[in-house]
Amino acid sequence: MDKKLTIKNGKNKIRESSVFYTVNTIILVIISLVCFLPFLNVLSVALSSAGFQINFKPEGFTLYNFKYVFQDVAFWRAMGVSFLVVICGTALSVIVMFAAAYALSKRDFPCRKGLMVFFIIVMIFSGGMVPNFLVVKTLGLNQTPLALILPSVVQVYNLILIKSYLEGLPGELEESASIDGANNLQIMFKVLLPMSMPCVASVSLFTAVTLWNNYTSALLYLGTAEKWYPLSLYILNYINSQPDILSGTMEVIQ
Amino acid sequence: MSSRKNKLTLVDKTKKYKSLIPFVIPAVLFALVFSYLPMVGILIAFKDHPNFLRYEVFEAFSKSKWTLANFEKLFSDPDILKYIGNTLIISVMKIVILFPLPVILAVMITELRSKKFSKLVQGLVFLPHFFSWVVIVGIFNNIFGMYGPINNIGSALGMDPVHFMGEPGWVRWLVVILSGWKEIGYSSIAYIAAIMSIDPALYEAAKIDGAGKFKQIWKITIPSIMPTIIVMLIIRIGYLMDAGFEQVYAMLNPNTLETGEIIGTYVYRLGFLAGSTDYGLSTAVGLFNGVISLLLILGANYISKKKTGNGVW
Repeated sequence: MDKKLTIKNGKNKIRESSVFYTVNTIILVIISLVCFLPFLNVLSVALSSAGFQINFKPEGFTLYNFKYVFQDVAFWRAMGVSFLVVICGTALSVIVMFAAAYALSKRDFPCRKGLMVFFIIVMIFSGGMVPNFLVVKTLGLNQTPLALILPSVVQVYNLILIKSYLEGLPGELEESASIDGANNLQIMFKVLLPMSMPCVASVSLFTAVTLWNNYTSALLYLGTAEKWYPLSLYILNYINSQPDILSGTMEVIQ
Repeated sequence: MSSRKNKLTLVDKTKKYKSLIPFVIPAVLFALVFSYLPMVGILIAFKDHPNFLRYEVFEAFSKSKWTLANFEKLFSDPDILKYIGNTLIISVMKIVILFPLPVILAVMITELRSKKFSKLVQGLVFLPHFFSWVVIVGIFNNIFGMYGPINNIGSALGMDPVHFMGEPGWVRWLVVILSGWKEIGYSSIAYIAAIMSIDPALYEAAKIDGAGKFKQIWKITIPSIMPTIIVMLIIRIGYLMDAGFEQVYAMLNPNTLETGEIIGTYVYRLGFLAGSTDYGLSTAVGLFNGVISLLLILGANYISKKKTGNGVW
């Protein structure tokens, strides 16, 4: 009697968990579709002729939109600016943050605590848009692509990530390198940087994505210097001026 | 040995790491110039209409009078109060509606049995995070557009088409929906990591005791990741005054300013758009926002550290 009951109970459990598993899978498929379908829609819009109602497949298939966008000189220029900003900005930011993290990862580095507070303040408080703009303007950086790179060099969160990664590395390699006569710069580039590749790679990815997507700096600092507009701001202006199929095409390309 | 280490004086430390000091200097300089120098510029909030368009920065600064009028206006102008209200409403909507969803998603993803399917789902739900707000707003302009899929489905069901992006009544909901679509997947990473680190023996024991799936989730998974949930919630509340400038600015149009304008976009409009420029007021509003945010973040971090032992720093 007792035994039968447990078996029956066990069967119920198995049935319950397989129902749970099926329902769970179905809901996750729906969620994945919700995440994916908007991209399908914009792709369809980009491949369609004007004047159709478009859901998730192209209507009146055409490559005209792509051709049009690819022939647009301003589009390529914006793309070039974006690449320039992402490559230079990421390299500069990651190297500067890595160097600082290297120094700050030493427990006995002078004023270590004070310097960390100094950087954390940067993370949680800012002068605001107008003062930021005035500093950039006073330095003569406004209307130049440097305004898209230099103000975002200090990424405190990345500094903290790299610093804690370096603190976790074994110190022996660094020591033996310095016994072999390597200076700090050599240690940083030849020992620590290769050893912390996983961390540096993910931090670089974050920084690159942030720089590629960011349009606020361009909006604030570039003013009328349209030749330096990055792709994000170029598309935003395009969407605002003529919300049609072509903007969809640009989004696909991005 | 270790006690001697702690007793190193500043001079000893400096001697020991003399050659490392240049490594921290570039970062300090960048922070001083691009973050601390603007903080001095906050003084502009106490100036009466400085004209930076006409004069050089320092000349414009010294030519304008000191005043508290900007702050008086900040606390009395009905428009500004409305925008502060919009900011709070949008932020609270985002927290109440969106905060629990990544937790649920993480639980669901970790309950999947097939590793491949789980990776696929994770890939798809993380994807939107990597796109610019500009692109996402553009995509949803189509989706919610007059001839987009949503209105197509609506008209198939016999409803009148709605111009969602231009309706003051819809804009806050759309801000929440788009923000959720972009960030829920990515926010679930922290919870997925937390769930992965739960000891599987707990679930084995629960199964032997005859606990079903829901009971296991409710009694083991959720309590185990509660510290993570609490830290995330406190940090999120710390950013209450930030309703998302990049998102909202890309979404707003003249029709939806009334219900959609937030402090960030208003500060931008006052400081940078021709016709309504008022640098003093813009800086004052920004300062007000910044100070409240600072207090909230410091408070949140303090509570988080005290309650759970973890903070952002």
